[in-house]
Amino acid sequence: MNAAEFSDLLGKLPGDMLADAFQNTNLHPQAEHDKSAELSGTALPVPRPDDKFSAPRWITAAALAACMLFAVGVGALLLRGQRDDLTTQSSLADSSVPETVTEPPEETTAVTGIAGSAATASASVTQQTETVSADVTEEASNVTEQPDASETDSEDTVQTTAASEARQTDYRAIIGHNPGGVYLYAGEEPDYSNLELTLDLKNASGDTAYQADVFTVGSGKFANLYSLDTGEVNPNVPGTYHVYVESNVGAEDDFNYSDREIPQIGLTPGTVHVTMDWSRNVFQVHVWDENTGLMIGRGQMTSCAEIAIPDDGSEQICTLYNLREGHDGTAYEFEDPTVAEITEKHTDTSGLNQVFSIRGLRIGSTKLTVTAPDGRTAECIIHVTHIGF
Amino acid sequence: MLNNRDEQALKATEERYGALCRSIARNILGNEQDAEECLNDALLRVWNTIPPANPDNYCAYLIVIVRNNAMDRYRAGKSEKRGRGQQPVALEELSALFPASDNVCSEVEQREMLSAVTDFLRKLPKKQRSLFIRRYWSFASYPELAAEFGMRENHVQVTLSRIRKKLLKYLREEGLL
Repeated sequence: MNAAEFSDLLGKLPGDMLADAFQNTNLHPQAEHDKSAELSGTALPVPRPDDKFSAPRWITAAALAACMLFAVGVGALLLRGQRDDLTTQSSLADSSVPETVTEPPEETTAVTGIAGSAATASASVTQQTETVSADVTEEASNVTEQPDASETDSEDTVQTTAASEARQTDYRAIIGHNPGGVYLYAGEEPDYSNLELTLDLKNASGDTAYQADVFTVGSGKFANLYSLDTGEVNPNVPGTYHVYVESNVGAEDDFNYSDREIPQIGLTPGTVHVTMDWSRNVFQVHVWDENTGLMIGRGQMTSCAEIAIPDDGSEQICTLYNLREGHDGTAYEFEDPTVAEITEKHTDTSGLNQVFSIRGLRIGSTKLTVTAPDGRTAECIIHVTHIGF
Repeated sequence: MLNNRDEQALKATEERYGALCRSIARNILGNEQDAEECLNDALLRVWNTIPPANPDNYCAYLIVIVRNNAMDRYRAGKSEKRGRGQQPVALEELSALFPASDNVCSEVEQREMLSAVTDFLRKLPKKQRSLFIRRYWSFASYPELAAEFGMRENHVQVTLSRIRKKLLKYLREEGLL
């Protein structure tokens, strides 16, 4: 998947999530739920997932805020009462002297004490309110593990930046992977050497530098940091199997980081010491029968008799499996060439398959026939349809 | 109102959601005139589809139509318009997460990915979720987001960067990348 495909995927996010995201925008007024129901003719409000969490806590927060105001009010009243007493005393002594000067030391202490306790109460309540807010945020987000930099003030940001720019050499690390897989015919030995792995580094705060190093299994690099589990694969029986790459938790190693500086986690070119955290990656291994014919599919060796393509002009990536050889001589033919067209084709990393893109030209259906140079053929019905809301 | 074929519904729609729809279309197309045409097309489509369509959320229904329409227009004339809207910039940001790949994503994998992304976004705090959707769904610009969310532009950038990293980590943990 690439960024454009991911963007297309975001286009299919649930309606309630979209409406929620746009609800507070200043581009349209509030209370759009009610109004939208009126406009569209439906009276069903969309449930908002946050509501059930936020409502009781807001009530609690409001109650705490009220307590805070009450405490401040009581403090102010007491303070005023004290000041009235003092004013009266000072008036009796000398009405022309400002009250702050005439306050006797012990009285001043008393006033300060009252104001101080009011302030303490206020601070305490404020702290509780903040705690509640933090709870709400935490509960609403299981994936949020790090403090949000956007919430820090400028001073904190400066301090953080200064600290993060310091050179760091010890990191936690995990093994990641780049897309890939293994294809072979039954009876052949699987070759895992081209599987591509990555070393991702994390600093103490959990900030991560992805792909600090990229290497293949065949390179032997970092071999002590991960284990390759190929136990599931039976290369003699056609089928799809999985190979697992797990990091060896606690394993340590030094490596020479030579890419660009990443100041956010203090990573600069030089020797870095890593200690492994747990991670697991999965690759697919496809063992084919020699007699397997040509197949048209949409990834992961899934043969498709029919493929739906949106009519919005976007391309659908498909794969012609088991082409073996003769990639240049493959012929693609649509029964009705006004419905769809082939826009691109190229050989995949295994060298056995050909990846191609289809674009819909108009709504309709047509049969796609692919003929390999050795005479084998594969067929698939292409439906160009509107895939909308 | 639309169910009753009341034409006032379109006027009311434009008054209420016009600015939002124009903003979405403009961010994709980078062109005021195209954005206006896009909105008109969307209103026509709304008129033609409701009824029988009966969307749960009219606003979501409308903005999805506007986005699809704008994306179609963008693709149709992208050679002339590329670089003018916010879409290429936002896609560039996402490309760090999803480097160009020859790997084919099956329909099942796409569904799994959508489910995982939806799940991820639901777990985010509302403000972060809205920021992410406004940036990568409707391609809102940083100044626009900063103004709407009461944040400084660099904070918007930092927040979005962190969300992208979290998403990458989450998708990897789910075995989808």
